[in-house]
Amino acid sequence: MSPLPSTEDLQKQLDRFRAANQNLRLQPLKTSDELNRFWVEHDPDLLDELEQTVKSSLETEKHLLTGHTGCGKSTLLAELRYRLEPDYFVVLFSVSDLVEMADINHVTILFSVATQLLEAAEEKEISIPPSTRLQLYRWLGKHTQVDTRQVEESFEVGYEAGGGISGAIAKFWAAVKSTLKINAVIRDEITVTFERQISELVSQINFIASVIAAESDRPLLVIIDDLDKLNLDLATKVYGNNIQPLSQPSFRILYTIPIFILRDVRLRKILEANTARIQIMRVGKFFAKGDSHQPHPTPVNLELVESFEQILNRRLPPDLIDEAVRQMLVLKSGGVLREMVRIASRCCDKCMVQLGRSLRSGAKIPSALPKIDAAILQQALTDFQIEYDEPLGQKDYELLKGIYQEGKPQDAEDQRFLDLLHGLHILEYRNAKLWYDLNPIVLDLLRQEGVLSEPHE
Amino acid sequence: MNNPHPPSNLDAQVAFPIHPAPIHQANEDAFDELVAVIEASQGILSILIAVCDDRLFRDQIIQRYETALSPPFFPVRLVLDHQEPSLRAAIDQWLTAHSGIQTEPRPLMLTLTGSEALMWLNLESEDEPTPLDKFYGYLQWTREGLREFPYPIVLWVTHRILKQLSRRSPDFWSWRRGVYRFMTEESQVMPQIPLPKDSFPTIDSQTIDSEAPDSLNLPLADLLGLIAKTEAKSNIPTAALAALYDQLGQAYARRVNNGEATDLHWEKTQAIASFRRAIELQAQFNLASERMNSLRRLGAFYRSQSNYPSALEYYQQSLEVARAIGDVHGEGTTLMNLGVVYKDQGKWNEAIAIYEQSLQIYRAIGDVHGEGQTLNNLGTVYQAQGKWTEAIAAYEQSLQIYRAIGDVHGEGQTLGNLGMLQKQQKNLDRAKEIWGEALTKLHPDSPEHATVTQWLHSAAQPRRGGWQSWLLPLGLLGFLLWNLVRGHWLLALLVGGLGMGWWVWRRRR
Repeated sequence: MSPLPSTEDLQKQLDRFRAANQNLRLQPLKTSDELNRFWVEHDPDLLDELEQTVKSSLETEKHLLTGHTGCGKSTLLAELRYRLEPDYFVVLFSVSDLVEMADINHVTILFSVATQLLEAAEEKEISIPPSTRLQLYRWLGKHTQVDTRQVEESFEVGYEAGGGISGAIAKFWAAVKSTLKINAVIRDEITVTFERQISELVSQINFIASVIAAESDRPLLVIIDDLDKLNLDLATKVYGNNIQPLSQPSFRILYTIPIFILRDVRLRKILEANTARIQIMRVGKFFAKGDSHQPHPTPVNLELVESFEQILNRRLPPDLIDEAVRQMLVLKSGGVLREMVRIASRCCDKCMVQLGRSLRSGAKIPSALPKIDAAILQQALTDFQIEYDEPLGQKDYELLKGIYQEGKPQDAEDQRFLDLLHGLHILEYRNAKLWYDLNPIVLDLLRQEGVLSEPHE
Repeated sequence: MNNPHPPSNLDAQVAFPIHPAPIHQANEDAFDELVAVIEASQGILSILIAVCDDRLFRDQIIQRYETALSPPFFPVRLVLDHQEPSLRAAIDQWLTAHSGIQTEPRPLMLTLTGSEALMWLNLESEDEPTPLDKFYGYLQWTREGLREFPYPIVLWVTHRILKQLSRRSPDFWSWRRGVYRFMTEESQVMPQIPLPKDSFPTIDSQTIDSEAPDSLNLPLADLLGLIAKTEAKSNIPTAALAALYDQLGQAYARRVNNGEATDLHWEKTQAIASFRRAIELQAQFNLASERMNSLRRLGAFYRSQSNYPSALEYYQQSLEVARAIGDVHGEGTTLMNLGVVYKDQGKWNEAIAIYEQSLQIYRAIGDVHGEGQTLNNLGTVYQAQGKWTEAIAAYEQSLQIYRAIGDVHGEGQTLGNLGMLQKQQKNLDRAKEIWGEALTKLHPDSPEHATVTQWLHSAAQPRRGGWQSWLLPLGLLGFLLWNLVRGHWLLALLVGGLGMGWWVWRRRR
């Protein structure tokens, strides 16, 4: 029998879980450092496809990308940016970093584009003619009500080659961003001002883009992330009623869109009429259709399972999880990357709780160092089952049951169905055909609730 | 950077022929008439108002009539002083400086130019009248002084100045011998402006002009440089050029409209050419909303040059684009601009029909701000027609909206118009009161504030009485003298006392 772990061992193990938990943040990988450390190519086809689509597109074309929440879009976009950067002046930003979700509309989106273009030009030291630069800052200052006097003084000194952004300029940008983020009154004023003359805002953006195009050696590509998080109301307002102004800037833009737009025939038609085709980031399919309903399903797509495991290994040292549990954890994600990370992170939490308790004076020392095993995973999954169950009513159970049995909804535009799709209760899978399945955790939930019968052995 | 496409590349692309066509028949008629009247005006004062918006063309006409008339006349050309734009002072100064002219056997014939430059001189302080205000003021008040100049005087103005002239210097206007309109190559049919007899200015709400409302005020050099750099990158035009040419058009238009153009004619053609190039590129790259804007800006530029047919043409095109892309706000804005052009031309029914359309649109989309603006503009048309009740109703509705949405500047604009309407109805005190209120609402830096200040200023000026006002004192004086001669001392004292009392009372008032 192996000796009991010492307090030091326990402490060390706790620290390792803490570090792993740090790496299991749910945010997408954005910086090149994060990408280097954690990125594993798991949808190489889509990345290549996006790259080629952009490169072969007309200079004013608009692109759309959608996919389930948490399936890795943002990380994919960050990687796309690094791939395209040698050939394009890429400006990638999340609209949620600038504007509160509630105030997202076509005006605030376009205003964010103007802001980001200018900031990117500054960061990349594009040498805009001084008077033009001054006027553009004044324009931005006027609408965000941020004082430009200090920036103007610093302009008089001129550009410092390699000097980066000066203090006054950095301050200005911080003020602009925080104003947009926290000042609802100013956001409102911007919306009111430009709603009535949206074409003028478009003209202004196009001018800023033209200045960058003149001074830069690469064509412009703007990627706007997180617009896929809009709820149906907002998405209808933004994409349904105002796609025209969004399609008017004179440069390439890649917009992210919510996945449920694909179900909404009207919205989808509007989008397709105004943009190039919609690219979809698929949820990873571990199983063939129906296989996951079997008692001990065997994944068909081992390559994908392996790539998910690899992603997990980058963040969670392999010895902190039972070999047999790892694959189970991956499969419970249903192919949604963020779900896998979330489950792993919750498992880490459970382990840390155990370790913390053991370290308390007088506590019983465990016989072995805690790590993620079947029991821990089950605890985590139970947590998630409760979370998934929270919003569900009897009607939803019926709807989910229908999905389980038929692989598709009775009405793909039904609001409740769309909500469940958005909430990841239902996952959409595609190959040549499109089908829906339940999130594995929801499947377990329904079986436990008796809504679905346990599979026969 | 070694640039294979210096700015002159632009010139090659946008060069326009200068008046390739012979002067239009109407111009010929005007010219013949002008020459005939000058000939008939030897040795007598004759005020001839010649109108042309194009400086080069105008100079050609002057050259032509001076050549045609140099025997028997001695032609003299004068330019108005910017600071003190007095017709009389200009002639006076020239005569003083050329005292030897007395011996000149040929009769003089004077041509005065320079009023067009006054359009664009800015107000230095709110209390100071603008040079253009002074010009109208001088014309209005120095007519009598011109009597000492027994010459034909040809005063050259632009269409815009002409329109104001009849309103702001009505006395001088009533004294004109004739008005001779010369159309530039672009405006084939310059419509007559049937202004009502008692016409007063009003403030129109225009949301878009030849410059973006949010104009960046960019210098020409920057834009020409950016265009040159972009064009140097590729022989094939790019979408990025469209926005640059649109800004270039705005920059030229601003220079022309603000009197900053070093070569007015050249910069006018450049403004037009730049907008046209932008429109062409926008069509090529399917940038519809930008195209709608550029078309509207070009329309507005033509309007600022009093070229109404072209203004209408481009506004119409802008309207079509707005409708095609379903930009209802854009449609409303362009309709408002169209309405102003019709109003400028005195086509009241067309203007009203257009405003009704834009009102319908704004109401349908719930844009109350646009509704308020349209109602204000509708009021100005009714006012120009002398339909006071309708005008007041429109203004009241507009005010109600502006107050409800808290648009203080808009409220000030409408109040300004309402004040003018009161003035027209001879309620000067009420007018002054309303203008006073308007000034508290209007943005202090706005042109509307300057306009209303000017209105209030001119209303506050004491009016000079006519000769009739001297009848009573002269009569009293005569009666007093008669009584003195007759030895009626007591009666003389009474009359003298009454006269003194009247004089003191009048002074106090």
